[in-house]
Amino acid sequence: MRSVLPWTPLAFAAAFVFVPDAWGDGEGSSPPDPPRPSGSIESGYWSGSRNLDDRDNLWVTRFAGKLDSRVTDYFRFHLEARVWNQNSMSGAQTSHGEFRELWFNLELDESTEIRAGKQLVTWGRADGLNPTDLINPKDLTRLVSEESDQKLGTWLLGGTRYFGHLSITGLWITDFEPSVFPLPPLASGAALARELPDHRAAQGALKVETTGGRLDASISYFDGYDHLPDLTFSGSTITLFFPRIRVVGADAAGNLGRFGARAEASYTFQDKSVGGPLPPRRNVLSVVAGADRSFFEYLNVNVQYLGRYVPGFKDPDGISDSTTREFAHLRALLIQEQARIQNGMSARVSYKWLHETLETEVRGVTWFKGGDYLLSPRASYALSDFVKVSLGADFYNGPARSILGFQERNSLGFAELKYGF
Amino acid sequence: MKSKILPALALGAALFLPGSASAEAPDPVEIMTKNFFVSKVSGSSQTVTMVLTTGSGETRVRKTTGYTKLQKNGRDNTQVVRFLSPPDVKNVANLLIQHSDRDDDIWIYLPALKKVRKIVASNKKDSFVGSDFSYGDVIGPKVEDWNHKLLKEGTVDGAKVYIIESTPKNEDVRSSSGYSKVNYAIRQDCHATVKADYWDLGGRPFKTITYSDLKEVDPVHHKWLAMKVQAKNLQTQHRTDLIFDSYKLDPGLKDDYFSTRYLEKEQ
Repeated sequence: MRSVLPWTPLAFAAAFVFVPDAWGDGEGSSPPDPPRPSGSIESGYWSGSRNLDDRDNLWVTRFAGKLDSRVTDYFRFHLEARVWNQNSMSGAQTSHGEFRELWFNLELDESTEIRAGKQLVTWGRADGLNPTDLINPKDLTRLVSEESDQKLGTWLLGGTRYFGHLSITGLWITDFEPSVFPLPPLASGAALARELPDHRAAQGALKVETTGGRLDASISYFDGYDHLPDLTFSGSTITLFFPRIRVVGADAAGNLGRFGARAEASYTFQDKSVGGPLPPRRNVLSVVAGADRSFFEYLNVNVQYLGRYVPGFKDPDGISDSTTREFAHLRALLIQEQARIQNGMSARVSYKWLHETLETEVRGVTWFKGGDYLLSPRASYALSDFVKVSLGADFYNGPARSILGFQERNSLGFAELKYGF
Repeated sequence: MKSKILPALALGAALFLPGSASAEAPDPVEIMTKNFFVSKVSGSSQTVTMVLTTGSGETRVRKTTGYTKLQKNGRDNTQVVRFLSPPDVKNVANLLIQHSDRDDDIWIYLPALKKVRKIVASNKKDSFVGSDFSYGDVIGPKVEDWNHKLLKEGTVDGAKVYIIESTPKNEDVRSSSGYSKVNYAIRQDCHATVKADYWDLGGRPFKTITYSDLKEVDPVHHKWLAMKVQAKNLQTQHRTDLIFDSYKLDPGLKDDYFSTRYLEKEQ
């Protein structure tokens, strides 16, 4: 049964809404801003799905709306909702809607603010791959051209205290939603079950950050549930569950001459009490570090090293029972633990043309051991100030038992038209 | 990614002004120094419309709001610029902290990612947000980096001007600015630039920037601002018009406005 806990942050915020003097609305305050709506309507063709199935030729239409308002100098709210419809050539149709964000922000004084409600929280300074960004789940099957649009809101109550360039942020996460992820087709006769955590509101995070000087950096701690599943099995039933993790993270960004340098790392302490026929979970060190540089005015190149270190890693091939071994391989893909040390790299090359109305980009990720890779070219052209057309593709390749190779069926191309307002 | 080029629209204020009047100042370095400081108001807030027009007449419009604050050294500005439109860049915001003695510090807020990112300062010759202004045009050249020669005195739109020829002092300045020569027309009464002609590194006429609708925005300190500025590329016929829709001298802006925390406050 769903508890009322997710709504606690909103109730908290409401208490301030109905106490007008709470904001010190006195001399020097500005009149309220009327709500400012904005948003976009997109429609596009996708050659396939991101769900490791054989669905192809999909049409997706999406409406995204935002509403922002500053009620007083100290109080504002933000709402973002999305509705979309997906059609396949075969006539199958699905429609969805969601509140992606719905929060209130209250400034208690010049150095302290509280934000309550459903929120997107982005942590980590690496480019695109952020091992410390653990607050929000993602829908990895969603057909959107920008990866950031796969992120889903989380109910939480957060507070930040500023001390000049330094700040301390604390989050109480009051709900848990798992990420939506692609699963390979199951063998016939197999059943899939899903176990959500019992204590969803027992999650929190803390971050100490410095920004505004020569070096931006932070250290963070997260104690909560992994949004991506682990698995166990019994007979022909596979059970997905979401283990407790405790993650210590750090990041830094600064400029070295013409280079912008970034690094981010996390160390994940796993819940080793998880039982079952598969080996216990192992702690993981994840590292992303790299730099970007611009050439010829509009060409930007960004390269990063990716590393994962799993002390005590046990190769699934060492498991004698064939059924257990197969499940262990599937699990290794899900939790991305395929070797004691995994090295890889990511790269992003972008160029802007025609006074920045045409933007082109190629992104790539590869893991050296398996040789698996993802290549994602993108191009978008602004037909006017309000209408933009985008083309793109994702090419996955590699061995079937590699992190990116097993997603080969998710390779696709797309064309989208977007109207913004 | 909407990246690093946007920084200094508010700075527009800085570039496009003249200084306190002086009667006769035949020393070109002195003229250029006065011209440099005429742009340095203690603080300001403004909204700006930028219209980009192609040679065939197609236009794109960008609107921004921003704040500037002069640092204690009296030379360098700190500024915040937030895009109001078009929709795909709405709420993209920049914080720029200028440094005379080293590269500027720049942060950009990307609303799609909900992220503030520290970025590398652009090359001076790079285009400013895809416009016909270079980043160097917007932040203004350092007087000491250029050789200045008084070519003649003349008249522009009825105002007496000095025509000053500026050439780079060394190859670094030449290559980083992208200009082999600049001719400035500077008003004799207030030392505001009213026109600047640029030549590219090959010595060919490159672009012209004209400054109009001059206003004395700080009568106490005799600071002036051109409310309309147009940059025209003579080689492509592409042009950019910068129009100050509103401008307010605002020396009392709180330091909070010039922080990465402020960048994240979407409007």
